Amino acid sequence: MNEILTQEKSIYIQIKEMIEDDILRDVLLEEERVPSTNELARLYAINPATAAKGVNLLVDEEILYKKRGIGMFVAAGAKARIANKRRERFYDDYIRSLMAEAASLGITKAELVRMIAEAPEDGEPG
Amino acid sequence: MSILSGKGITKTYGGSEVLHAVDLELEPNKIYGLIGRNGAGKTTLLSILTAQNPATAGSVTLNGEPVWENPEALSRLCFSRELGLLGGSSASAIKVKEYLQVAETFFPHWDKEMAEHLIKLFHLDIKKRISKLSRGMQSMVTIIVALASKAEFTFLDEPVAGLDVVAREKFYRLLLAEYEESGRTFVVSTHIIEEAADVFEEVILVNEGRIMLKENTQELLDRCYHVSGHADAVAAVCEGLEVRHEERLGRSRGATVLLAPGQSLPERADVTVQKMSLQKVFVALCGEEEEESV
Amino acid sequence: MRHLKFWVRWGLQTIGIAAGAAAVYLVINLFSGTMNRGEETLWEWMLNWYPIYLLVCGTLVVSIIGISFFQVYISLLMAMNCTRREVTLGGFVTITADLLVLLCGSALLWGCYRDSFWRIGGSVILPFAAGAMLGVTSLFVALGVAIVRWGKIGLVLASIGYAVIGGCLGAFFALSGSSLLSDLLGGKGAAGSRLAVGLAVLAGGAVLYGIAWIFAFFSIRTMQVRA
Repeated sequence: MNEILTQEKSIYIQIKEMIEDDILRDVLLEEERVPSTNELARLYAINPATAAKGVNLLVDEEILYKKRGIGMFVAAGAKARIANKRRERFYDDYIRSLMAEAASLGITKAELVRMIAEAPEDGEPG
Repeated sequence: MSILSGKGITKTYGGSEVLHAVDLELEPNKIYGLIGRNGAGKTTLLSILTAQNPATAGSVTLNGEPVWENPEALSRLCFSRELGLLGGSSASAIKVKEYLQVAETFFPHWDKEMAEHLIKLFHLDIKKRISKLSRGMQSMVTIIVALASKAEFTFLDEPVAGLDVVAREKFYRLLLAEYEESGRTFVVSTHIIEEAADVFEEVILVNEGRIMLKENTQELLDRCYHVSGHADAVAAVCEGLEVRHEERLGRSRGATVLLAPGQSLPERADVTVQKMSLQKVFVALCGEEEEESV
Repeated sequence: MRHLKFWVRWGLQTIGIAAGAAAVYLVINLFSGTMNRGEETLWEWMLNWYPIYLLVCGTLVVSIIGISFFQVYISLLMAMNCTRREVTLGGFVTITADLLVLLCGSALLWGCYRDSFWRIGGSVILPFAAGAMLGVTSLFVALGVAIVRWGKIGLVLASIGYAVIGGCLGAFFALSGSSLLSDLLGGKGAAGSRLAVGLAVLAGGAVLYGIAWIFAFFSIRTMQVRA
């Protein structure tokens, strides 16, 4: 929630990903209220409509849900859903670019597999 | 090569101390950015460094020679003021033409050709009185005097205030071209930090009458990081490091970390580590601590 | 040299304005017909009166422009790297030189036209006029010092002070001063005593002028350029 906004991505995408990260890292727990769009707008000094756009994307993906008159809440099972979604995207997000870069440097697939096998296991997110 | 050095500069205005024993050394052939909040003492510091105003205590020397009331030393300095500030006094009642004429008379290395070129470039109406100019036009006069003075040490106070983005860009290009060609030293004070960050070789950060840091801009940016994530994880990462600014929001926490030489941030997947822009660093270092919670 | 260039230009400008103002005033009086020309030719009349106008208008012009020295040029020149000593000295020398040029110019014009000037006027009018000029100008220098020290408030306070002084002087002059003055300048009384009065006025004016500039020097030395 306290990351710095950058120029590289649309602000509302960054807001969305930030909330997702926080759910994965247990900063926001399931069935817990998330900051309102106005609070987000104030925190990042952005237009509330932009913040709302990011939050609404998460509502569409059923990661957040609206309680009338109270605010936005993290849906039950949201953490698993986000992890799933990211797992599905992992190939597109990381493997493709990994292969492309390896190819451009002349690193063979076999070498790549060996590198991955030898790399130390890092802390898993969440 | 000359060195302009201030030692223990203290300034008191009507009972309140606005500069507290400031030490500062300016080396030749550099562009310094002087940044600080309103009322941090930037203009006061510049005016004392150029002997426009007396210091309450402390000394300013150019190659060991005191600058105060020293025509020889002064002839190598130029302090191009923010003209809007003269609004109160009547110095801005004179016409731009006369202002530039006086500058031409007194700056020993005045470059008339350059001044005329800049007047055309900025479409400046020199027949107007300074006080009648728009804020941006006044800034242009500040810039013209500074650049055309050809002084070894040139100080520009808020040269881009009131200028639009295009004119600001133009100014930074002119400044860099002149710097490259002449090897003069420039000290530029500004509020508009982001776009100037790449121009400054060193930043001098003034906060509440003190110099908070004076450092190579890139080196400073290389050791400033923003760490965010679960408060516990952030606390673990920041253990033993210099934390300058923190925000909290529920369990979430963000912190600005200044690494000392040799220090590094541990790699962890559960925190986000981001590089910071000069503006963010400035806000983190000089802004008041504000804690927000949900 | 840089300083000389600036101050000479400034000084000459002032003299020019003074000469112009005197001429304008002369022409206005000529056409408004308030002055009786008597038997003099127009040329004689002008030569007779112009020096007087030059002294009176000139002193006022130099004094008023002198205010701009305090209001404008001190901070301007300091911004252009002049030391405070240089600025003060430049202002003092130029303003004094302007007054001297006006005095000498008037005396020459007068002297060329009237031989008697050197006999009666030269001995009394010159020291008297010089003293009056210095006295008047020193009031404006003091006003400038007030501006340097206290800014706009200084200007207002000094102006009020002057209004009071001016009122008192005016009252005195209306009651008895004018006859004294005309006696003095009109050639009545012994030459020696008239000269003594002239020299006394000169000495008084010079002392006031000197004091005003000494104050100016110290005020400028410690003044703060607005930051």
